[in-house]
Amino acid sequence: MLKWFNALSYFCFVLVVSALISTQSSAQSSLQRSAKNNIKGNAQSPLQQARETNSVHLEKAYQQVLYEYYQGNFSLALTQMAILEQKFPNGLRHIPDFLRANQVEPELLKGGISLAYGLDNQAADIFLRLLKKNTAPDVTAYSWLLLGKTYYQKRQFSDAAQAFQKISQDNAEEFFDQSTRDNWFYMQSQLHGFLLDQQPDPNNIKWLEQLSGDSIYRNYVQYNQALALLQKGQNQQAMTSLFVLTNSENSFIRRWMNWSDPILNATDEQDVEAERDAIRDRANLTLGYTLLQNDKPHDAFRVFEKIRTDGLDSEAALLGYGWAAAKKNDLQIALAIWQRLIHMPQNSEYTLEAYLASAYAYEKAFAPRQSLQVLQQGLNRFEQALLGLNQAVQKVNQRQFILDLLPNANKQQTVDDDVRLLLDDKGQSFKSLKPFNTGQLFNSVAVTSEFRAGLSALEQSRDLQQQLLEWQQRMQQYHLMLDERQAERLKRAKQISQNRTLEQLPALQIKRDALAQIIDMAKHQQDGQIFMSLQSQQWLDRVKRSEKRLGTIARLKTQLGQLPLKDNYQRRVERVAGRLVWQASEAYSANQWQAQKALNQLDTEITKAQQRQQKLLNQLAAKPDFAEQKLRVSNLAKLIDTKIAKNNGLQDVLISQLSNMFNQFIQVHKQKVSHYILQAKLAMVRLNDQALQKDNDSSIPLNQEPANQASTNEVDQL
Amino acid sequence: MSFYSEKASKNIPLHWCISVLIGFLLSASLNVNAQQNTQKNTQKSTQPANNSVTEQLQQLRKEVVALNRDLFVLEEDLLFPSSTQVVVYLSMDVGTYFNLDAVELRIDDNVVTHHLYTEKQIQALFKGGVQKLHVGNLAQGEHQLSAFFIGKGPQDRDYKRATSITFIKTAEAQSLELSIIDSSLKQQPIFEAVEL
Repeated sequence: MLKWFNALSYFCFVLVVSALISTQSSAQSSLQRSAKNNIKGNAQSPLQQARETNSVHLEKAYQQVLYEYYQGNFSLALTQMAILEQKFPNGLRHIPDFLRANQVEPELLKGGISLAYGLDNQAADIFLRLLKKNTAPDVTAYSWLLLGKTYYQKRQFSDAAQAFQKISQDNAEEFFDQSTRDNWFYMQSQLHGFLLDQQPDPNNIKWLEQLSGDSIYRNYVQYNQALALLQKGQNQQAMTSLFVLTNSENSFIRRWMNWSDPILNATDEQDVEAERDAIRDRANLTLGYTLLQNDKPHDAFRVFEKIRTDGLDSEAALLGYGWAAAKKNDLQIALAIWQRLIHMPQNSEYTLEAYLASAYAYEKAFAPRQSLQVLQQGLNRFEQALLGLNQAVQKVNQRQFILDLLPNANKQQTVDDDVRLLLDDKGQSFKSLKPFNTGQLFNSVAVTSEFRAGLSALEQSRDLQQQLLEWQQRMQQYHLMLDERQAERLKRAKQISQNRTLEQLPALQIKRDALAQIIDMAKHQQDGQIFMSLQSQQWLDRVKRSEKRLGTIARLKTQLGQLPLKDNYQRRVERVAGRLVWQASEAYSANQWQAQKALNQLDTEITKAQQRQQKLLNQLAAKPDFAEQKLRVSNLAKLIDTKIAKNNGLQDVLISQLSNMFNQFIQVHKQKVSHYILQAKLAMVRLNDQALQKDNDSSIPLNQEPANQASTNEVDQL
Repeated sequence: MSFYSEKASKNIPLHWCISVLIGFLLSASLNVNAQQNTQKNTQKSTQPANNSVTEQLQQLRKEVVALNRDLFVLEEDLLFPSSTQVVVYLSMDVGTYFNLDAVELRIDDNVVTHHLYTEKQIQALFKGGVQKLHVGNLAQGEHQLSAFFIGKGPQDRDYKRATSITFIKTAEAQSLELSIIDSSLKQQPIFEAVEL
């Protein structure tokens, strides 16, 4: 009677064991998967589902590329792109249309990122491939533009010019926005105006007209055109052109926020304005000297006045300003200007030349004594400058000097900004050699495109090194992690073995089979009592015990010769027993159905538990992949070591090249200073000779301290 | 010839002007003249070597990109195996009604990540980018993800909204996406969380 109760208790026990196995197994049953699919109400075939999932993952992978790209993280964008291509071969061809908005052909984007990251060769290959196979006019136009820019960056100017010429005006109008078009015009203007060593192209005028009014490129093209005219000797036209440029009003550049923004336009508004001011200064400077050459000192004087004193050309402007004043016979003003230049701490060619110019002005003002005095001062400074330059040579040959020029990787600063500040600091560090200051000289090196390219390459190399060292460290950590995992796995396997978890299921299966046999027997015999509830079974037991007692009482009474019990007792017990049996028979069908249902559930759970156990067994039996993973980590670690070694070699070469650049500039400057020394000495000899010839009666030699120094001081104060 | 020659008093200014002018016209210290002749001459001697180094560096960078790819994949395999991996992406619509400042992500009531957005990141999201906001490990079974979005809503008011989703982690890698969508109908932003 209690068998059914036992069956239920076994069922509960199986559930508990099943749950236990489930927690130990990391695998998921296929039943759960189907349950999940049912929840989703997805009636698609597995193949379709897999295809859709793949498509969604491809989409997300590509969108991650976009996320990095639009932030200007080109290295990460390229890495994400490489991961995408590894996971989804030919995946770039299946990017959904909504992600191709703004003409972002995925291949084109990859080329653009490569170009922006400095992988010119890879970028060129991609654009050429696109041009071979793609017929869409927008993609073709952008491919030619970016291919041209790639060649331009690689200094293959002829190829660049050809690539740009492949873009028709109509296509440029249709597919490029204003800023991209301006860039296109500017690069063509640069190529045909200067870089291709050919005669200035009449198209330059056309390009200038087509550039947008507020584009910074307009200023560059205007200035370059004026220079080209000057080189051709067309001074008047050049001056007109420069005059237009110097009188152009400041304007704000529009932000261009479409997809090619990070490739073609990386400057912000503030930088553009600073750039514009610098060009204006340079144009004024050129105009001023051109006017001087054309014997228009008054106009030149007014032009020099417009140049900012805190700009890049301030010293050159002051020198010219002085010459303009001198040429219009304002010698006092000229002297005052040159004195200001002389008192500047930098040892630029302009400050040094100012000594010679001042000496000239004094001589012209009939003050040979002051002239000689200035020359003597100049001579002292020239010699100090030479001394400082010799020390600077030693300094720039040190590796750390070059490495210190690199911008701090943690700061968001551009190479140019940082280098300028650092070089200023380094220039100031020579203050022990007052008044020598190499900041100006270092800055003049820093603005050259060659130096900037070298420093940028060194910065890239430094970044690579940091990245590789970080990965190297991580590889060591992963090695340790794999060791720990292996130890943990062994520990778990041992625990499972000790708990005999895997032995419990077969025993439960035997018990389940016995129960199923009982249920079958009950069904076969139509015996409702087997399915009776526990209480009914207890009642039936009591009734049976009562029947036994009544039988015993009747037997004893007969032995004692007493009257037998009334039939009422017997009938009553029989009635109760009959009622219980009747109730069991009545509930037979329902109880039998319930029992079968419970058995089926038990079977399901046992099946699940078996599956989980099987997976667990498979996992335990599977050969651990730690060795493979460790090998993978080791191989990558070796690869990292190789790259680090290669990068170190490159870094050494780059540092040496940058040092050489400094050395070359210093040598040139030294030659200039030596030349100034020679000039000054010759002039002093000549002045002394003249004095001796003109004034044989004079008792005071010119190279002695004059009695009346007031005149010099007065000029100084001016 | 010396600067101070006997005829200096007549010719000096002109001499100076011309020499300085020529020096300026041919010098190239600003970007404008970056590739002019003077620089070309000085660069010619070092250019081939420099090009070679640049090429080598370029090749190295290309190799490092491939290495990075392998390392990222290895890292994912080791740290986030597919049986436990959960990835949460964040995407954004045009942002007319909502300007995102920060997102807080909770899984089963535990804060798993908190992110503050820069202007560049917001722009990247507007242009179609998707951020991998979180990648982590979860046991198989049912979990709840909640995301709290903080930013500026319509009329530039402070805006904080949340969305949540209950999902079942299976043996396969689980991907979820949080989306901020502009509803022109409601004139409000809509925050959604979906399983991918």
